[in-house]
Amino acid sequence: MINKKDSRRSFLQRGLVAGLTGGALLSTFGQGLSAAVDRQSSFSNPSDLKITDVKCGYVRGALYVKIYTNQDVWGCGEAVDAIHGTYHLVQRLGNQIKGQSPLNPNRLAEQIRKGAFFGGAQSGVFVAVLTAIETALWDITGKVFGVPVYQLLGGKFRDKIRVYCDTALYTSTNPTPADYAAAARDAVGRGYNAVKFDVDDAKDPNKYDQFNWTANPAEIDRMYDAIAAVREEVGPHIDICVDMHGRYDAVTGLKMAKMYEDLNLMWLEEPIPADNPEVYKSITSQTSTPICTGENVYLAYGFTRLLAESAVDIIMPDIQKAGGLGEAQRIANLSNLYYVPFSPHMVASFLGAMASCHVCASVPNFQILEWQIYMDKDPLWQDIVTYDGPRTENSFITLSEKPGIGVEINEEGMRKYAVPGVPFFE
Amino acid sequence: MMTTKNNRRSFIQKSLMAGVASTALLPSFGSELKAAVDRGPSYSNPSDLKITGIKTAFMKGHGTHMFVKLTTNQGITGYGEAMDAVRGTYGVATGTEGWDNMTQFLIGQNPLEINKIVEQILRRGHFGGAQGGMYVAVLTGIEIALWDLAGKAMNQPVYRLMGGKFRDKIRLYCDTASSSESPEDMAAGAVDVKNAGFTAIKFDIDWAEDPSKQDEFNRTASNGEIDRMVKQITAVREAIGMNMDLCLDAHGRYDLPSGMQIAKEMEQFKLMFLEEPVPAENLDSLREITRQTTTPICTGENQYLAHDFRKILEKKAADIVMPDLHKCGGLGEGQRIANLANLYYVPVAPHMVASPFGAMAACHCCASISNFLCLEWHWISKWKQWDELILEEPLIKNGYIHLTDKPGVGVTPNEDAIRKYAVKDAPFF
Repeated sequence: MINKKDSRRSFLQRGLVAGLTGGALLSTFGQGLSAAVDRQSSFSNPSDLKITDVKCGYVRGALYVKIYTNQDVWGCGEAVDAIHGTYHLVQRLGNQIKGQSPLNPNRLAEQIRKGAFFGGAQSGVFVAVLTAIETALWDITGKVFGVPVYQLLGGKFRDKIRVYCDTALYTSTNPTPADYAAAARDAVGRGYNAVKFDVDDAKDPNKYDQFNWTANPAEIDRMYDAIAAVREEVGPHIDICVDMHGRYDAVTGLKMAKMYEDLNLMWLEEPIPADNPEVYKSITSQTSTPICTGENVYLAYGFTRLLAESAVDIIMPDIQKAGGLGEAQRIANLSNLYYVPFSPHMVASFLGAMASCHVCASVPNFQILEWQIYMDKDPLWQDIVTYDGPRTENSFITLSEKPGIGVEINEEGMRKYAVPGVPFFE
Repeated sequence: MMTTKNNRRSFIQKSLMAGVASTALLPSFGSELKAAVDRGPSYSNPSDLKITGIKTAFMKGHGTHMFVKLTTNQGITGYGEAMDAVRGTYGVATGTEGWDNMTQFLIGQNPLEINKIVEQILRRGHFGGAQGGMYVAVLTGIEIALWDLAGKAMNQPVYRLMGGKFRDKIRLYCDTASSSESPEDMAAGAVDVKNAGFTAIKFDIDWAEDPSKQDEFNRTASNGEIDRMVKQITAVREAIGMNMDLCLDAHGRYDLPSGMQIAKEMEQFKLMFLEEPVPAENLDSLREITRQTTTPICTGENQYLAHDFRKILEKKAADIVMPDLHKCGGLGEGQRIANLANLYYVPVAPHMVASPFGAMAACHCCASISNFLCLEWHWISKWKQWDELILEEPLIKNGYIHLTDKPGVGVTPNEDAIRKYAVKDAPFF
């Protein structure tokens, strides 16, 4: 039990008494304040709050982190994709932050990064793991102060976050244009007003070479016809995105971008790999199809050249990968200076989705967030987190108003999907 | 008295009820949360908080200060302060005197959506000068008041709403604002500042009445003028030693060859920075100086919004940036500017000439960024008067301001003291 000396009331009184006259207090705050101080919650005493433990679990392509404290409040975070095999890294970073207050997420994230400047902290796996920890710190801070995370990010611009449905029509099964159209019909039928399709296919029977990715005319026709069928099916007002997964070379990327021009895409994603901003710039400047990249770009640093060189029209950092919620907001604010919209990549659970929503709500230039069709269909996604209520409704997620992120890791529900051979929240 | 319907307890309950089973609640927060919610303060219901009024007051201090007061439907008041580019803007913030009304839409709005409100004010002024200057300075006063309100409504210091703090105390440098004294007097003044506990000091080096000045209008510094500067700073550096940081301010007074020469002559003194050797508008010229001297070059008090700093940083036109947090768009914009600068490994040393209220507001922002260097303090010749301007104890201890944990900005403008210096015939709340 927290004793009286450490209660929040005395914390507040200590702060208030230091040099403030009663008259000023009342005129500034009205009559309610001194009575309210007496009624103040003794749920937590922020100034004594300390991290006591960091535990993690892995499910498919995601890392889930829980940060525990000395005051019966904990935080949840998630990272995706660049997290395989990172159990010991999570333990090491967790040990670095034990004993510290979790209430300064920006500082702790910077500290963690500085501690590994020579250990890979510029991008990739390290940054992804940091992302899960950083996210959990925001969750704790919101819970401790009784506010949703968006309020810790300067408040919200919107209450609902638009999503598009990534149809996950995997090209490995060589779907026909009719299959594409059917998948689009299904997504629109579920209420989505924007859809995304993959078109890159390593198993295209027309492909001549396994390693080179210059598309031949048959491959190009396949990629075009698939999306033409989608456009025909959904009509002119549903937004369509096409993802080439960074597989192709510059000449193919440019060709497809130009071919897609008459289909009026919302964007063409990763026509070429992420690493060369100058090549992106040459494609972007030669086509009216909006070009988008970002899921494999880390930290705000990763976006500086893409933006300063006007290399892309839209950016899509993955908020469960790029360095955290604070960093994602900084990335969005950076892109805002270039009038570039912010449309995050998202393949996470609803915990990650809602964490993303807090960031998306907090910036003016948010465009749209990714959602996967299998999140609607596969029971795993309902089992692994706790959140009652609809997740997407007519292509929107409603922003949570609960303290912190508003979604909890459900350890019991998650356990059966846990990656074997790795400790699960132990 | 507030009705139960509007108290914070019901705010929390409303959000908790929305789709969360009580069994889900308990494993999340432990059994204490439910009990704590019942005990929660009924002081305010943030989601029902609305701005009911906006007033301004103008004071003569370091030039013209504009104070902003926002009132609400729950008895909370937020203060803001803006500097320098606010002179004569009496009707702007409050929408009188025929200026297109910047803030009428604020009445009835929830003040917690700070960044959104700022964006709305900027968009409304798209054709009305919102790219910089006076419009942005006035906006800044309002923006700071929104942070003060939000902090008070949520019972948190502003830094907490900005992502937490990197540091508990904010390093100051003392701007002596003198350029016309003899080397001996300057050195003595520097020693006084050192003895007062400051770890960094700034002098002006542009002297309009320098007898060596050859022409009234051009921006060329003669050898005599430069010699005068070197003699002064030699005496100062000798008096304070190498451990105290030394900055110089040229106030954007000089042309390219003169600014270049001054920067190079100052290399021997290992300055923390040389400020605005040339005027603010041409960053290419500033970049020439920055590239050719080891003296760190600093600019920014006459730059507005993150956009101006993006240009400085992309061109690498300066080594250090100094946005004025009471002018450049506010605390949120200041944080965005600092985070942008951080991507270029450029530190931030904000320009600051405000009252102690404005100083503490700046401190919340400075605490919230990793690349904060030091904050200006410009009132050495009127220290007592400065201290008077807030109700709380004097802020400065040994050259630092200690960040407050009180809600909002955490200090309160002393309206009676401010009124003594009120601008005649201008609004006063």
